[in-house]
Order: sequence, then C-alpha cells, then structure tokens
Amino acid sequence: MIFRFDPTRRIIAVIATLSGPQGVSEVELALDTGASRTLLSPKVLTVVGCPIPTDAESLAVTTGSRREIMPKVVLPELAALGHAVRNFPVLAHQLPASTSVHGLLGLDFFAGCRLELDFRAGTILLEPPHD
Amino acid sequence: MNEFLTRAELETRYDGEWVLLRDPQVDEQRQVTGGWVIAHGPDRDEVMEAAMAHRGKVRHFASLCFVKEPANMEYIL
Repeated sequence: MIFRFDPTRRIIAVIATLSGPQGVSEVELALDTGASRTLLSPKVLTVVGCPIPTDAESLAVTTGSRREIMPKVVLPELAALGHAVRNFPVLAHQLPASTSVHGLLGLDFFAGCRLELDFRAGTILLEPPHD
Repeated sequence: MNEFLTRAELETRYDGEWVLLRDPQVDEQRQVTGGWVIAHGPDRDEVMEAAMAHRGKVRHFASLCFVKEPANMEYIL
C-alpha cells in the first residue's frame, strides 16, 4: 500500500497506532532510517498501559551527540504504514519538546520489508515481510 | 470541550498547539480525520499529562501536532 507524507517537512512523519493492555493511541513518529531501534515516549507507552517496568532491561544507545542507556519496553502491537509488529521491543525515551513527534520509527520495524521513499511524489511504499 | 471536531476544524481552532483527542476517526491512511478534544495547548508534555489522567476511562486516544516547526531548526534524531 502507498502512503503519503509531506516532503516539505524536515522529518518524515507517519502515523503509528500503539496498542496496549489499557488502550490504543494514534501518534506521529518520525521515520528514521538512521535509527536501528524504534523509540517511543515513556508517557505514550504509559497511556496504553506499558509503563517502564522497574526491572526493565536497558540498552546502550549511541545518539548523534552522546552514548546513553535507555530502558526497553515490549509493546503488544505497533502498526504503521499498513504493517503491524506484535510484542515489539522499543526504547523508552523522551525526545526534546522541540520535536513534533512522539518517537522514532526505526529500522527494526522494517525488518524483512521492502520500503521505498519517493521525495518527489511524497509517497511511502511498504511491502510487509513474506511469511 | 465535549465536542466532536473535524481535522479542518481542529487545525483552525488549535493552530500552534498540540491536541489530544478521544475516540478519533481515521481514514484508510490512518490519518486522523476528527475526534473529541480532551486537551490542547502549546506544551506537548502537559497535553500528554491529560492522557495519563484519562487512562482507564478512555480506550482510544490520538495526539495531533499543529505546532509549526521553527524555521531555523534542523533535526538530526
């Protein structure tokens, strides 16, 4: 399926549907092919019933400016661009308020998919993985 | 704020703000086309606090951002 994005924005913003034990939330994430992992705001995770567990596993993350330790949270389902991943481990981290998104859609979400970005047409083609 | 608004109405009324909706309507592209406003304001984190307060009472939320990206801001996330 082909989805539209606004190529005049400085980020590729896509709508993601987060499903957890306490609800569903539609939020904008930045599609980020420079991020190896998907990252979501702890508040958004809490809203759908997936707060950071006290014994959460943490991962070392190298960002553009430093190395950080971030907790990992397993989200029951993350869906975007016609593709859904169940029991998806994501990093819980709050991006600065100056970003207009609630997180990053990283490469791990696209594992096994075919992804095409067309900046002329402002379209995203995503073919889910073959079963 | 117990009023259903379309996307166009939301954009006009809350220009420059974050908006939190309950029971959003979405199209086939999953774009939010309308919903019931729970909270709005210029601060993302304050608006999301409202979602925390409604947790358990509302099952389906949507967050929309009508804040313009600053002209002099670039992003390396």
